Amino acid sequence: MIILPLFALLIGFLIVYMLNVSVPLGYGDYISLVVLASLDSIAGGARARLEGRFDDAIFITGVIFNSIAAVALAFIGDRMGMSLYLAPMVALGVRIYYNVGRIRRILMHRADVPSSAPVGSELERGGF
Amino acid sequence: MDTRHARMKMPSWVPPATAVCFVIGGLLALQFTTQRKAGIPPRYGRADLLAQILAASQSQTEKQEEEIKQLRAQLTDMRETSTNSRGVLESLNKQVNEDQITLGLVEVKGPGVVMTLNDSELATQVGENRDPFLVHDYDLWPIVNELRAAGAEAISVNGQRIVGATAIRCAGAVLKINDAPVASPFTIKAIGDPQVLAGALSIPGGVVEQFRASKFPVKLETQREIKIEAVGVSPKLKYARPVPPER
Repeated sequence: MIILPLFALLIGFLIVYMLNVSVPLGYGDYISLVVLASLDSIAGGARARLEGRFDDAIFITGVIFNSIAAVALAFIGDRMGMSLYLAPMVALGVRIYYNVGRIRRILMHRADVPSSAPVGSELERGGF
Repeated sequence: MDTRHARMKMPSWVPPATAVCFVIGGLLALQFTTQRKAGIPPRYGRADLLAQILAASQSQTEKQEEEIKQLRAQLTDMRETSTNSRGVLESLNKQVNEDQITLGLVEVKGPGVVMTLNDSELATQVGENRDPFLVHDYDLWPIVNELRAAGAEAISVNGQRIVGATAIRCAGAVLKINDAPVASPFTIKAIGDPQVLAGALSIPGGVVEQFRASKFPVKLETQREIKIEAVGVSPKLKYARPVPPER
């Protein structure tokens, strides 16, 4: 079943690549942020799935809202002349690393390992 | 995880994960294509720019040659009509020659400096605002200014003679000097005392140092003989008239 999303990734990539479309240079950062937000949700979702508490509604809303929030922050930052896009970039990047680390531990030990994140924090709850 | 073959039920995480992965794939391809296309100068294609410059310089060369022909004919005329007064002719000739140099009407040679200036190396970084790293009209002004102040007798930028009527201004992706489009890299030539000219440009805190600070590739060398082109077309005077001396 893990094949299906990977396959979709490939298909999506190929379709858009064949279309040979591009966005104006200035919007490239926003696209990257959406990709990052989606990757974060994938990592969070994978972890939640392994911990047996995956919720597809939370997953989908996570993708959409994280993307919107990241792009909105970056957009406001651009209007203000402030590098606000760094905020979602760092936050999402850290979370991806954290979740990938958790996934690795779960897969290695096949057991729930005590979280190193503060109890009740977004990271601790899997935050996807 | 679920390795049973019989009637595998699709886990609930698969459809949303598949959808999101599809979107990620598409966006990644979009970014790849965007970045790849950004490799070409984003504002204008290089070929377009070169064609534009070539066309303009060709038509300019024609005009220049015609003007030279006219000037030579005038000079011959003058010489022929005033052979009777040799002394007057000689002093007039001298005056005309000097004025022609000042006005940039003739090609001149002499010792001086050659400075080359290109867009900053930082300009190649994609995605950032390139503007601060390109050579602008207002980057050339102080160079010309310093050279003039240091006593340069003839100056040219990319073959465009800098004279009294010269304007250096921005015109889209290129600069316009004497209404001819020029683009980086820039070669600025000046005839005068080489040491004085070089010193004026390379004093601490001077223009060369400022360009180097922003990673603009700058080269400055003194030469024993430089040739500086004549100005292309001098404007016809339509409004200015000399005021007769008052008694």
